[in-house]
Amino acid sequence: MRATTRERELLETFVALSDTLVVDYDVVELMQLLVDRSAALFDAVSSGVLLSDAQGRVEVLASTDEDARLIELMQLERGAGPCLEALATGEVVAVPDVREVREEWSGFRDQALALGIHAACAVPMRLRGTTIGALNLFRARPGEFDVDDLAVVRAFADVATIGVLHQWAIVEADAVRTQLTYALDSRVVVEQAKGVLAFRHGIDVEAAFSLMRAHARATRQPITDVARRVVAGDAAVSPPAAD
Amino acid sequence: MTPGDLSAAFVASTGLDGAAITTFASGPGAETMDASDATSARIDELQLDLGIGPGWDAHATQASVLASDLARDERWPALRDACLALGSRALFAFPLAFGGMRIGAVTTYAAEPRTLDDDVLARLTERTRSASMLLLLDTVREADRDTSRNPRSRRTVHQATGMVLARFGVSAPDALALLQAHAYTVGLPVAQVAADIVEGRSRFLDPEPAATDGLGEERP
Repeated sequence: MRATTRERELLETFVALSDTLVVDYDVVELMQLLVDRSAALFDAVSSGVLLSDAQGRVEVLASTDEDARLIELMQLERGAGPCLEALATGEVVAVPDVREVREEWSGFRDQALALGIHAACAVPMRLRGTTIGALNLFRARPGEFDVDDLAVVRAFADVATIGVLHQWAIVEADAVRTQLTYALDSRVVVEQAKGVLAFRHGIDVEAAFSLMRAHARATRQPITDVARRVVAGDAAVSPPAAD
Repeated sequence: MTPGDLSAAFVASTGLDGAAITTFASGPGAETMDASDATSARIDELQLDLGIGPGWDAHATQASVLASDLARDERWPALRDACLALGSRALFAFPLAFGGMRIGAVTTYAAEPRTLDDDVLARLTERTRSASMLLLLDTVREADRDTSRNPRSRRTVHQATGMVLARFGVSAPDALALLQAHAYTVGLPVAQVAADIVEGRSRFLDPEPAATDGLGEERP
């Protein structure tokens, strides 16, 4: 494993994060470390983590500075700024030049410029299709975010996701174990379900997969949920009846 | 960095000859995520085929499992003999866990019996932490994907497990156990037996007495 300087810095950050997670762990401390390191590594003037709770309330969990205007900026409701946009869509929302945002975001623009922010990037924190928060970076100069940087910011957002998961683990050990196990074995279950359908309907595994995917689309369910039911013996997934 | 780079870190400056990274999901979902050489890959396949070995034990006990002289070790006889035949005479496994979340294990081997001094042990333990973190990141990142991108995935084994469970009406763990027992009886790797079943070359799923039309038949 030959690591570049950047990768080494990242690995150090990961190790620092894992230290935080192991000893007397506090989710806010972890997020603080994460935003501070993110700001330093990605040349940002500010950085912050937004978290959405089960009731859909959004709060800023950590931020590089306590300026109320920055907190407000991150909490601008959906349709008014990039941070909640990322949270709502589960997609990265990059604003390379704050001055050029669309009109609906003028409130965001004015407040950002007042804070000396000219570019922003909001990266969703996702687990299994659910977006639980967003990591936000704000830069003083306009410009596109580098693709490699974005990949790393995503990794940081994933770390933040793990941090939150871990917090849940302390609160409710079983729930998180289930989530993690679910994530670990979801693809295994998809493969098993292919086998079940292949045997049941006398088709090959590719055809079985198409069948399962079509059923998942038609019933608007994640394919892993369909697969789980197939393996448990649910016979609902079957080829179109022959006339 | 991907799970495909992880095992090399356990070989560099440890004097060990190979390492394999395994994730243990619930039930029959264990996968080799990375192996530094063919021998490590084969040892890990044996661990998964047999359902025993230091990796399993490290995962179950969350402690390191050291077999410094495999020839004189009585813990996993079937695995031991196969490993010795592969030229591996010592096995050392360490749990991969992060913040209380159990992910898997790394199983290393040495070609000659040896002990690990404190220095090497500390280095290995240190590396399990970043490996655990990266594996967990990969798990979180890959969780939305339908199909594994892991080239070492035992997907054929999982598919055959599904066929066996549909055929015999048993649970997934029991179906895998049947598959493992069958492979052990015929003396083939589980992956080989599984491929034969999935590609219709095996009579394992035939109704009894052996019928001429096998796989497609609807059971009453």
